[in-house]
Amino acid sequence: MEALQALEELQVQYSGTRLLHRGLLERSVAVLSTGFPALDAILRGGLPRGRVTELAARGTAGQETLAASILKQAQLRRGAVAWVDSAGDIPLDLLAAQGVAIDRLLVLRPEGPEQTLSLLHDVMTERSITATIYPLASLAEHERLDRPLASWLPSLEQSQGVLVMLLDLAESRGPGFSFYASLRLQLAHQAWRCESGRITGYRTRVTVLKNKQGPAGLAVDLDLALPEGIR
Amino acid sequence: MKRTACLKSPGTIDEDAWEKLLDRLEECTPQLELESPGTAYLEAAGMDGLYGDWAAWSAAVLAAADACGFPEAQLGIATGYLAARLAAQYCPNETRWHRVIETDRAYLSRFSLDVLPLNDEPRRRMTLLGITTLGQLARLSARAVAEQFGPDVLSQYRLACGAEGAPRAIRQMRQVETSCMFDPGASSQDELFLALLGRTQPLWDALRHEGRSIRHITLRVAGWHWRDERSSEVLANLAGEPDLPGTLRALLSGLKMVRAVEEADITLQGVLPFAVRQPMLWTTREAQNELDALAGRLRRRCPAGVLRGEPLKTWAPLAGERYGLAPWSGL
Repeated sequence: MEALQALEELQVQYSGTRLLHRGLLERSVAVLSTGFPALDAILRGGLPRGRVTELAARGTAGQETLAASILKQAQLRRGAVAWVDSAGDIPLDLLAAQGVAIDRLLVLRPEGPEQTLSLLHDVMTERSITATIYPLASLAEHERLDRPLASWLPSLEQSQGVLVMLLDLAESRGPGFSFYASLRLQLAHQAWRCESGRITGYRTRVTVLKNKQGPAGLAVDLDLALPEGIR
Repeated sequence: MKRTACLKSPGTIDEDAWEKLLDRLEECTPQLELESPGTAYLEAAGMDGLYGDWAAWSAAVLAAADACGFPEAQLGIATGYLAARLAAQYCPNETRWHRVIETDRAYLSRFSLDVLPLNDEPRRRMTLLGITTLGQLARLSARAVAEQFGPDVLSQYRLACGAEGAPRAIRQMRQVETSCMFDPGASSQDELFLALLGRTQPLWDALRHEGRSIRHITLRVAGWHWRDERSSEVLANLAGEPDLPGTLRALLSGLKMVRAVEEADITLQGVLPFAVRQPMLWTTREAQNELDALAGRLRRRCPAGVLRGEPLKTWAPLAGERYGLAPWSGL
């Protein structure tokens, strides 16, 4: 009874945050579907809203396809979506082929690190942006962002947006993971799928390396199809 | 994923009321396809996301039907045309709509062969062989169907297997028109261009302010020494950014040799409602305004760095390069 009373007091103190009592204190977090039911199932519904998610991959493992699917899901829910394109290599054709309405995708191309930081701050604060994809161009950029991003997490939580950072494991020469990510998924290419001698897609394994909202260590295999026109 | 919805109203159809309903339905879907009075197919992909869920979208469609005098209209949502039509026809009376959750093939398997337009002879042979439902027909191989009942039955066999069927007639968007006739008093192309721009800009702004997408612009000019009037017309690109001066230059270049113009008549045609008419790219004007406002806020930080994707304008885009980036500006 004392524990329940303490919980109620905490609830009053941190109004707006719902506290559950299931062994451990656990926050109830809204989610955004990834568009892959099998992946949603191991993530308890999808990516946590108001949090940072990292997608780490090496080579062709479906990182951009998964990012496209997340943007599409956000657009289907009438949310605004953004892609921070500091490297200048946004895969527009892939996004369009995956069903993202690219004429309604905000492509943000900052000039220099300072503008990147200020734009990221705006994106994390904006309530109308449901999902933002940010491919990290280099390890140095990753390290430069660590401190400011961590301090803006409360703004992201208020805006309920999803910030997805794409990490290229080959590029960053090491994990280089940040401590503030709520969810970290690693994608690994498994096998190509061929039909009539043509590659039509591939299988990729998504492993949950870190999950503050649920169990980590789970993995699921996804069959991704290469869209027509890209095959 | 493709989704088709069928709105079906039983009984005799008042064609004027049906046309009014189709106008109303244009607000609920990016594309309408027509079969016969009383049956319309609506593009439904992504509508659950736009409206919150399927129940909300169905309620909006059925409310339009009620308001236009079709209180018995029913809605079916499926992947293909046949499953959507049957879902509309056999949906529960109390809800007046049904969404096919299983695959079209699984849903269709329970229906009798009566729903297919089969000739008497193949139908008789199927009855003799004990084939009475679409599911039983779909279990056969295409080769066996062609051998047993003739190749003409293959199209019905594909329908039974849940294949899509031929698309219906797409309803043309309703046109709105505004025009202006004036004496430009111009003796050169540049003077004529400036006069046209001055007279056309208010029409252009008025149409766009009312939420219409400008589709088609026609210019007719006449001079005292010409025997016939000359005309030029352009189709505006819905996907690209509308540009009135560029469009007028294109119109004038279509006229060639214009001097001593005495009379100019320019007509602008738009479509209702405001929408980029492609499934998945469809949006409401309100949503677009919100997005433009958001882009404006972000542009304060990064004036040149807020962009959007758009189809490349080249006639033969390189494979894999169909889209490019352009500065964000309101539709």
